[in-house]
Amino acid sequence: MLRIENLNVYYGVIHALHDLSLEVGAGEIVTLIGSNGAGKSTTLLALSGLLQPQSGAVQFDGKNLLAMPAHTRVTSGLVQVPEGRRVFSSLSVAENLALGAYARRDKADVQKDLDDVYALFPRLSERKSQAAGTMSGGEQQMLAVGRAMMSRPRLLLLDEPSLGLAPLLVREIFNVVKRIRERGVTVLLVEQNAHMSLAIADRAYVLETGRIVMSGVAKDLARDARVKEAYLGA
Amino acid sequence: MNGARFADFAVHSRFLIVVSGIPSPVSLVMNSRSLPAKIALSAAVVALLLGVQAMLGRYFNEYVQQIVLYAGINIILAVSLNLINGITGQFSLGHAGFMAAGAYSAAAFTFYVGPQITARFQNEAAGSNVVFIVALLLSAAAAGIAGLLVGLPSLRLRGDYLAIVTLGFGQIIIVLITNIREVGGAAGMTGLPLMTNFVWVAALMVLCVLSVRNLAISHLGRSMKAVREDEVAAEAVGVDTTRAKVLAFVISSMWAGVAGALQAHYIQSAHPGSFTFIRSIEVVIMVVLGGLGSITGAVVTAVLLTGLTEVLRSITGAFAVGLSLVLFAAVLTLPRYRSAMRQSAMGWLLWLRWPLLSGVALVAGFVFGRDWLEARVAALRFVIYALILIVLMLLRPQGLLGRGELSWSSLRRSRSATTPEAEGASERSEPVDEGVRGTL
Ligand SMILES: Nc1ncnc2c1ncn2[C@@H]1O[C@H](COP(=O)(O)OP(=O)(O)OP(=O)(O)O)[C@@H](O)[C@H]1O
Ligand SMILES: [Mg+2]
Repeated sequence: MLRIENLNVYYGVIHALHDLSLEVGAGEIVTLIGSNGAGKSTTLLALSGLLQPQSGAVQFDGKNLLAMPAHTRVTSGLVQVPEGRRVFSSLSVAENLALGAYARRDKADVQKDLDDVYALFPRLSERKSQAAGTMSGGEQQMLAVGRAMMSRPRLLLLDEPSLGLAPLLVREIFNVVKRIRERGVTVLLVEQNAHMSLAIADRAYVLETGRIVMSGVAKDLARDARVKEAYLGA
Repeated sequence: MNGARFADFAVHSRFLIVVSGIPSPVSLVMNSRSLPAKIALSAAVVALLLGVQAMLGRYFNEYVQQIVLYAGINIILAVSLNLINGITGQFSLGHAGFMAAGAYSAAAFTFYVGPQITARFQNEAAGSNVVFIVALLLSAAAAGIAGLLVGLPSLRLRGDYLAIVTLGFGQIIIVLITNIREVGGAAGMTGLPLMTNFVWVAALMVLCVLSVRNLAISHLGRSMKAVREDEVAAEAVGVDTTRAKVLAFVISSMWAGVAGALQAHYIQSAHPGSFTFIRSIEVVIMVVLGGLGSITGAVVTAVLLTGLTEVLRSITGAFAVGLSLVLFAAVLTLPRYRSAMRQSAMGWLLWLRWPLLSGVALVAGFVFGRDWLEARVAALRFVIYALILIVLMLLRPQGLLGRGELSWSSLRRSRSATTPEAEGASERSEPVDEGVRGTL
């Protein structure tokens, strides 16, 4: 579904991604783990079009993704939940979700998807008219994911959805990711919480200072001695 | 004659709306009612405007009429700037520049081409109306193109940087105009025909307010608000942020241009000095004081500030404004002392100590210093104006209406919300305006 080949991103003189290659198959949950500053967010920003890579190729469903502007990537089914929640804070929950469906053409199904999102996050349906900025961190994260679901993604890019959440909520968010995949959405999950993300992912890539240093089946990586030492704190 | 004027206007204003791509209020009415209802409604509006015009002419002097027209022009300016600064969350300081682009292009047309066209008409009034309509369209087009020219390169800039670029652009327009001899250079252009009247200003003002409102609750308007809230998140949901920003600039400047044309054909001259950045800042003040993003807020402050500049011409007026400001402050601070007032009578004193003190100071100043003040009223006017702005901003930093809108339902709601809890809740949900919520 998604194939990245030799992607290079520079921030001025900083070489943030070195020849990064990665693949995501339809229906998979693939996780990209790495410590702070490894380049995880940079990878997702390049995919969603919020920054322009200097070289490399990205194919999404056989199409050349890098040639598309950011907003058409959303309509073609590639949707990002940016790092740090980024809800439209002075708009209500309902307005945020409506904006998620902004670029869609099939307006008829929007109501059905809205019901779906409210079923996925009952908390949101209790707070439809609350200003998004006044909600708790966990609720905002749910809203950010719900808003992305309103865009009808086929590939969902999640950037550290568990960041700053209490353990119970972290569990809930990862459960939601599993349920989203059950609905037929492919997921590329960026995480620092390697423990949880390796548990729900099919395959995983490990990113260190802009390079993929390891990749494989998630269960195998979770047992790998180097991964255990560096990311699982054991 | 006036009837013909308005009929012309009604036809051509629809064209204007089609050109600017705004869902029109006219079409709203047209879609929702039967033909007889439409005719009746249009007739009622025409009758109303003509009636008001006749009344203004008969019962009020030139001066009052002038204030009313200025208020209308300022409403067009404030509401249109609100599209950029309030709804899309960008910061433009170039509104006067766009106004100048519109004023001068319309003026050049009515001055050089106008007479030839009028000469071809048997009915002189009809001819002059046709000329004015073309001039207004021209002003919108010229200012819209100017808006596009600023909008495009400014896309990457945010906040302060954008403000500086638009400020510079406004000055460039003024310098350009000053150097074109055909439009009068630094001396300005005089001897323009008087074409603007109450009907034109009122009708265009209503059109401007309704079209900006319709835009704000439309699909495109939603994307503009998304840009205001968070550009990255807006991109992430598939909003074409470039398009949203450029369109905000273009539509807003078109209206600024129309306001410029109206002004030039009312005072019958166009002068570079009336379009400096001071004018832009005046409009920014209206938008900020009204509450960024609030259309009704912009309307209210445009009227209030137009009136204020006039009232401040006399010390009595300044005194009256000062007293109303004190009252306003007292009302605004009332909730803070409510619980104290319930406990003891001292609460009342706590609440009223500042309003009472400043009220007494005002009266004393008025009674004892009247002659001294009177002699210096011209110089003091701007100081007082500035002081009032400072006080208003301190009292209500989020603007008169915040991001909310004034509507019958909001008035009813605020009356029923008397408990402190309910007040807190309504404060928090304020940014979500009822009309938008309903349509999303
Ligand atoms: N706008 C920028 N300008 C300069 N350097 C940047 C910029 N954004 C990121 N970087 C650098 O690029 C590298 C990768 O950053 P990135 O945000 O992708 O890390 P990350 O893996 O997402 O980290 P975290 O887990 O902390 O979110 C870091 O060294 C960072 O300092
Ligand atoms: Mg990151």
